[in-house]
Amino acid sequence: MSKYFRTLLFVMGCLITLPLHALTVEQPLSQASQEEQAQHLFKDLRCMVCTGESIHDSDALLAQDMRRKVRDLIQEGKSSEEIRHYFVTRYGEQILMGPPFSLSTVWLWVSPLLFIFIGSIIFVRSMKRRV
Amino acid sequence: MLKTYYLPLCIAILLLVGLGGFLFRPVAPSSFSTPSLFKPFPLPAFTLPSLTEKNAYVTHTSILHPDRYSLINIFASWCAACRIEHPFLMELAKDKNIALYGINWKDTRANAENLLQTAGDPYKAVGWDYEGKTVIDLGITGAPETLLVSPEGFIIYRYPGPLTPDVFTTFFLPLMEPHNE
Repeated sequence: MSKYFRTLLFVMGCLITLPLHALTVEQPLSQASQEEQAQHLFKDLRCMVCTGESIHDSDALLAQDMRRKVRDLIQEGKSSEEIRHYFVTRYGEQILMGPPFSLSTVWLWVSPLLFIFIGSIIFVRSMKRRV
Repeated sequence: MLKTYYLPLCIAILLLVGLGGFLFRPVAPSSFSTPSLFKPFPLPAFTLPSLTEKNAYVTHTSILHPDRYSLINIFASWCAACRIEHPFLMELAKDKNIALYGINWKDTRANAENLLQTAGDPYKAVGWDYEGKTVIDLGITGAPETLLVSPEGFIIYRYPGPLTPDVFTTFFLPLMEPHNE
């Protein structure tokens, strides 16, 4: 790589960090047990504007605000159950990541396994043919 | 040779067709916005600094009114889709039967004031929620978004997305009917 090119890459690498200023630095709660409670709740709550992510992982504006609200509620002394209820009241049951296995989602779980099962039968049979 | 594959293959195809049929079943275009799926809850108490008036506040009491429905519209200067609904909001502002309030979300005062000055201010009052604490209390998921508040003081509907005449007629007007009798 020419020297010029390497310098260019370096400068671009630096510039690419510029948008990071948009990320608000989040303050974890000072009490470790409270922050732990917060982290658990983050995994329980869905990010409504992301696909399948909890607010634990998402960088979306909504997720940031929800995390801040969770921390505020913990500091107010609310229990995890009360906090979950708070979000369900406002966003509906869908806000909970919830148990993924229920009557309505049973086919979601079962069908891939079924296909694998059927597929492997066909596979084994075709192997036997070749012998 | 085909015979040994026949049964599992049929089962697999049937399952695939079944799954496909289920996944591509006809659904209402925005069933997420379906009013019957929305569970009303009382308008939470809140206090926000007014965006437009110095030393003034916009609270839940500003919005609650026993004789009419209110709309709370969440907007921001960085929100491109908000520009789409803006002309219609200006129209709505002229309707005496509807009270339109705004909440500016995660914006600097300067940018928000600038927006209202250049595009027009359709709101009776605008609250400034820079941190986003109040909008979470109201169950908001983003901007643009509009809430319908009943005369009884309940949030009875939330529409995520730009408020167009179509959306207003389809989703909001029917919910406002009981009171208009």
